[in-house]
Amino acid sequence: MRVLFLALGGNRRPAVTAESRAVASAGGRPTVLVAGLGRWAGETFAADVDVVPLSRYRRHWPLAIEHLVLYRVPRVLLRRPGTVSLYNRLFANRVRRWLVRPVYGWLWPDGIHRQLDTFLAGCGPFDAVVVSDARSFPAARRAVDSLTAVTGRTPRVAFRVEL
Amino acid sequence: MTRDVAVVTPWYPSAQMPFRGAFVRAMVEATAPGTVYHTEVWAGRLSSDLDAEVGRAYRALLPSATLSSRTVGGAELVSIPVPMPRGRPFAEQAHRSALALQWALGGAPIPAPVVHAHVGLLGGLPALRRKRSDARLFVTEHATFLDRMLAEPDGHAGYVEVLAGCEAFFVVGDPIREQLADAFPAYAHKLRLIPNPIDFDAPRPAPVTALCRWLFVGGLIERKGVRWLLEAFAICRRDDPALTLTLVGEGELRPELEQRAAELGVAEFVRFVGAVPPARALRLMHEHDVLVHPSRYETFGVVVMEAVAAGLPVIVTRCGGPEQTLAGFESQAGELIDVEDGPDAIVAGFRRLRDRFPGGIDVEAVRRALAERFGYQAVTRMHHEAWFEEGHARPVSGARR
Repeated sequence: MRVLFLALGGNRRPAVTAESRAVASAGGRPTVLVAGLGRWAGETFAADVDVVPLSRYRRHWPLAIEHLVLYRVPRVLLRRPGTVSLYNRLFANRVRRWLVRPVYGWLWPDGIHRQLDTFLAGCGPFDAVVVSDARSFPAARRAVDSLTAVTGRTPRVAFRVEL
Repeated sequence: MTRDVAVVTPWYPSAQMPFRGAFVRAMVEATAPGTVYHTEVWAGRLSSDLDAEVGRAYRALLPSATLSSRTVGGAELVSIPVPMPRGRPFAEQAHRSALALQWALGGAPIPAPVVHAHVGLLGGLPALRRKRSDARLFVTEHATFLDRMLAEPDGHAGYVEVLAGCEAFFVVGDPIREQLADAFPAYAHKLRLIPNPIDFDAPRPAPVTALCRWLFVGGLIERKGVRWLLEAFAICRRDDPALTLTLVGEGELRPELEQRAAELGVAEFVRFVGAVPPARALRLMHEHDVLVHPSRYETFGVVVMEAVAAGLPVIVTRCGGPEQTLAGFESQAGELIDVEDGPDAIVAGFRRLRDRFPGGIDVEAVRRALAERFGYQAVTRMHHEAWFEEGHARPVSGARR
């Protein structure tokens, strides 16, 4: 059985490592999708667990430009972490929330899911989806819909794996 | 199994936090209720937009998700995550937990005629809101952060709602009872003492013969006094190079403690095991010589009781619960020490114990005596007397003996 763990929030790492190990021990084939590998640097996964960073897949170009202009360049220019954080809170996050994302959503309704869709197209299909943190619920919903459309079967959904 | 009883709890051991709510699982193992609803807050960095999106996706996935599994005592465990932004007030956590429970039940009430909630607000409020109108609600409070919860106006109001709606409100020690009686005098008559159940069935194979291997079990957080424990260990080790220290648990202080152990020159004698499941914690208790528990505050002190149950002498602070649970057996169980900001009390306590050891220590006698008060059978009897008192339904069959 192929099991997809969605761990995009990266804040329930002990559960994800233990549960993916349990799936592998039981003969399953677990894949853990994370946002990036940085937060997982201190974790040890079982040998049979495939850990895939979503950042491996290219962002849709408007989002890549958004990230570059609103976040990366200012981070280099402002340098000091406190200033960057203030800038993000007072300016960048607001511009993204009130301007960029509504316009983007209007132009490309499914664009926000392109990275996930690319991952599923390349690494899927999966028989079960385990939602491992709060941030992963929207991606899980998309993945379940997508997998159902591709395979004609609704994957099993769980929020934990029994150890 | 007492299928007529449902348990609602925000804390239950999981892969994420193997320790959290171990006492609730012990209660489940002892009393064997039919169903345990575990509403677990999953906090994350969520903007308000993302929070709303998460909520929509959560509700869409919930009906098809597998929530049930089996747990101790033959009970059904229904695990219900409660996604929410981090740092939200306790009352909001309770409110969201109630909503998640409602959605997980498909809008129906909890079917059991008796509902027992753990943690006054976080478990009590969801249980109160989702129980049948004729169901009887009991609540056990264990939380050490009661003062913070009651300081929130909505938290206080939610607590009043729970106290008004429950049949009886259990507390695991006098410190909580006094705090609640002061805060809610109108409901003082509902407060009853009940201990956490402790498994006394797994004593160590051979008694302790020397006090070399120190053990700490708990969160590596400020409240547990672990900084002073490490300092005290380094001081005592200067006299006795055979000493080692094992710290079981995780917490924000771990990096600092690892660094401090290196500065004190004891790093190779201090082992950080991390969080472990209860069965491994028990094995570690069997492999060590003394539990050192320098906590600043405990409502009951489950770990101290578990250590005694495992045949381990203890050095423990008078931090609320332990001086009550060990009353009458203090010197036979080990040493009780004062809560102090510094290592001196721990050092002095260890030296007193070491100097008289094994004189006056009789952990086996303490174990037998405490089993009468805190063993599964005793605590099960107390629960059943409350749940099925005269005029109410009886349990379907007996729980673990």
